[in-house]
Amino acid sequence: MLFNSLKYFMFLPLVYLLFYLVGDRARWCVLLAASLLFYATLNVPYLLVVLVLVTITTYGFGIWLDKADSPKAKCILLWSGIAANVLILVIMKYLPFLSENLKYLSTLISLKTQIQPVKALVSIGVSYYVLQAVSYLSDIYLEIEKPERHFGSFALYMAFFPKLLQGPIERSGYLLPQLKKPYVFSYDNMRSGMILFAWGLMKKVVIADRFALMVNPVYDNVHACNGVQLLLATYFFALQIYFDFSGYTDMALGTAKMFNINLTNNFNNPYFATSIADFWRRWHISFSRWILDYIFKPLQMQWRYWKNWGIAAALLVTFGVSGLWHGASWGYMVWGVLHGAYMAIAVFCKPIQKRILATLNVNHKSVTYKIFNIIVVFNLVCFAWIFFRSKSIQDSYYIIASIFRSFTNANAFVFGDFITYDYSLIHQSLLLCTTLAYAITVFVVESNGVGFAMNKLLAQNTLKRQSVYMILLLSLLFLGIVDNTKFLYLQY
Amino acid sequence: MELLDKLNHIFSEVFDDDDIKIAPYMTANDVDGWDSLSHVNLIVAIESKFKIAFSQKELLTFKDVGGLLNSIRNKITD
Amino acid sequence: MGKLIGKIVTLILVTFVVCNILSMYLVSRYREPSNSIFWSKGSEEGYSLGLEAINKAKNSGSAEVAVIGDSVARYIKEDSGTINLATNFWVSMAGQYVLVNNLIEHSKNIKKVYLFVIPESLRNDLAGFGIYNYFVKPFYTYENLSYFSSDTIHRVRGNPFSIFYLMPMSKILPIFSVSDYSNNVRTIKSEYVSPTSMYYLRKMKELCIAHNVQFVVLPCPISKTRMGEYCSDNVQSKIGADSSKYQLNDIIQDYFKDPVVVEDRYFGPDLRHCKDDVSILYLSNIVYDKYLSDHSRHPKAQSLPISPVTNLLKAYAKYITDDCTRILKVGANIIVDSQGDDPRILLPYFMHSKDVMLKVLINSSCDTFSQFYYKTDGADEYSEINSVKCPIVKGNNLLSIPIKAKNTVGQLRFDPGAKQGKYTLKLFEASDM
Repeated sequence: MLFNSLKYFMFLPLVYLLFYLVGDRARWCVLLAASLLFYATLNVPYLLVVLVLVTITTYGFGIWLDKADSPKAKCILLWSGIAANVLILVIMKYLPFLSENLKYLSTLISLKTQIQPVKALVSIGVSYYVLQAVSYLSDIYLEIEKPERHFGSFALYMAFFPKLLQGPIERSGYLLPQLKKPYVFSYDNMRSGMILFAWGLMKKVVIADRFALMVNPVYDNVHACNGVQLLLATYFFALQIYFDFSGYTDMALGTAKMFNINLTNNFNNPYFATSIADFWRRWHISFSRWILDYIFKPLQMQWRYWKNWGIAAALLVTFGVSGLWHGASWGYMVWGVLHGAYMAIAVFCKPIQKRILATLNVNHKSVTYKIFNIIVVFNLVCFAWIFFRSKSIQDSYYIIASIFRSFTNANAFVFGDFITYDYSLIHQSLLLCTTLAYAITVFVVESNGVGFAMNKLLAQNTLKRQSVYMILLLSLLFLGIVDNTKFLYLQY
Repeated sequence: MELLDKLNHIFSEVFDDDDIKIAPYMTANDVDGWDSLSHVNLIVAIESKFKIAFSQKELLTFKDVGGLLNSIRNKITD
Repeated sequence: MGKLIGKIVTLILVTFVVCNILSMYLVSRYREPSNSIFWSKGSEEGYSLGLEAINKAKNSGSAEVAVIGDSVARYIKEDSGTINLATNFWVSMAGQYVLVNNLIEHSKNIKKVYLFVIPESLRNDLAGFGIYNYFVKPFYTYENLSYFSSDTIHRVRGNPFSIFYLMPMSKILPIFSVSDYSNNVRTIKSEYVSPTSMYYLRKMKELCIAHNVQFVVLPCPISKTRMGEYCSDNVQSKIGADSSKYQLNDIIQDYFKDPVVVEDRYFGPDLRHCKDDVSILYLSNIVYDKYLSDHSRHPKAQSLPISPVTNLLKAYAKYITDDCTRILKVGANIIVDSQGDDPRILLPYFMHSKDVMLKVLINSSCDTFSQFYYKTDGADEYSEINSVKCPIVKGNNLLSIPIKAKNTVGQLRFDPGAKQGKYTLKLFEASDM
């Protein structure tokens, strides 16, 4: 089930109540059962099988790895464990992509064999807990962590429902101890957990889903739109994906908080980054730390004698993998490699950059320079988002060409038709203004971090606090987008 | 603390900052400019200065300057 | 823990009250959906459809004839004495009853009420996914409660959230719009007409009789295919069976007596709604002529020539061409008489962004070929590249010409042949591919 569904609003209180009422010894059972049930309501039975398989495999390999004596045995066990998990992930997610491309390849070299197209399997959540499993095994190998002996705790570490579907990706050293701590009811945690959940929900259904309404008609029908519409849709998409993902993360963190579990924060004002490297320290933090620790650092160290070329290669590989992990298509791959390229170029250009700044006598700590960087980085990121969102590479090329063409065409901008909709201009403008107002408010509130804002809120007097809660609730109720797709074809 | 001074000198060179004063408890967060991209430059400089080589496993488990110091110390006394 | 629960409950209650107050304000100011920022497109349509119809019913002015019914009936023309309040299938007979009540209550002039429905509408039994947005939201209010039977109220209450349905917040908050009556199935079975429809048809009839208003239930023009389906499903006899069993004889007995059946080509893909403005005009005139025109006050609506050839050529009296060619209109056909060997006709403005199929029935006096030229935007001249050639023989030729071009603009140029001769156009139609 999704966090923004009625089912979840009934599921969560029931689970919490049960969790609260049973004794400490059975609490992990309640959470584990709830997590499996949560996963099961997606109505895709083989996903549960995959989860159980990954859990059992990783648990086994973890203990095995720890018991092994020689470094060689440890190395083999580590790589087998990783391979097993990656294999499962590849089968779930990448088989159709692989078979499609193999088919294309085989027609290029005119093979006679017929490669049948493979149907895509649903793979929600698999990418996340497989990464967690790999990090668990690696941490044991590096002797940073000890393997978890209690199977129940370990299973819960893998399946904990707030983070099951979309992360954050948790390290065993951070999450496992929390799961094993006895539970003491904390009014503060309950309260801030619920507020955080409502805040995340608002980001998703009031802001992100509204931007989606403006982005989808354009990106789904690229050839019918002009350059300006495409440009605006791209910017809106950048906002949409941020609010969607960070909203979802907030809901996950809020839910976990109610159980006294702190998950890692995934976002830190990413669009205020002053460089692409900085962007990745603020966007999908749990994921970028994972690729940093388990792909980039090893590769970088391996290739350290190639100097900058080594770093560049490591970056490209790391972010190529990142792109591919996000989805099994060339669009995602290009997006990932593009980010890797941005950073690789930055590495090579660092000395040149320093020299230019010195000659132009620019203070690299000044506010103007910072703002300039923020704008540049935002645009680079948006350019990469084009590949992420568009339905195919051809569409991406068309979009880019269109946008650049529109810069040279003075008549490109017609305000009236900047969004393709059946509604009047007033409605479209109101829609846009409301959404932008909310977006700006969220940016302002979160500018010093969600935790800071939360503390500030809780320090206010009752009246102010209750008004904020009320405004949140009213926004959700009146402005929340509800899935109405079946009503679009209602003429009878 | 000759080793610490030598290491400090390397840090100053790599990060282009004469005012750096490292201590065993410091981590990457405490030194301006020490991020994953510049970390590798630091390691290469250390390896070439002390004529040692770190293993992959060691490189991934350094927690702070103290860990780095210990590892260097072990390698040069071997 | 108790303190927390207490606080949550208080917050929920206060929010509940505030929501209702805000919603009440918004409902009173509700105009068209285009000015509302609360996005739920389908439910906005449903709500405004019902509200507009109710408002119109309350302000019928001097109209003497009222047309109510389905979305299919919406094209029926209004004039100074006729008012069209047609809504939609989902409004159901219960909603139509509310409309008739409002009409009669607020008007002294109404003399006739026509209910134009497709047969399926008679089956609506307050079940299905559209019931909330198109019926409950606009019609199920305090002031209308007295119009509904206990059975109807019971069926509306079949949904667990129905406790909120009389409150203003259920009319505004998007979360309610997903209320689903799909499973609101009934165990009593009739042949065809639903129990809901039966009840309200009877009520409408009685209400009209009490106020000396004539009430007639009629079908809109039906496509040939649909009519065939109705025949093979025995709909007529089923409706007849229901009407005699449930004493609806005076209301729907004549429903299928003399339906207007029209070719499929006037309808869109669903074979129920009109395809375009031409069809709307055409069918609207048929309905007017057949049912509404004994209302003597109005001049006859503009009639449309319906000869097949003039489907595309209709508006043009003159066809610009060259000096050697004469064009004659003989009966329903057009004859192109060419003395030179390059006859050409320019046809009406033709603008399409989809692929088009032309169907031409041409009788030629010799063996030659026809050519159709089209222009795409930006082009000043016709060119060979943007043309389709088709060989024809002496005698009758039925040509199917696909014009596969995005954004065809301007006039089509048609060269019926490349030789001197007489070419008779008997059919010339365009349709989307």
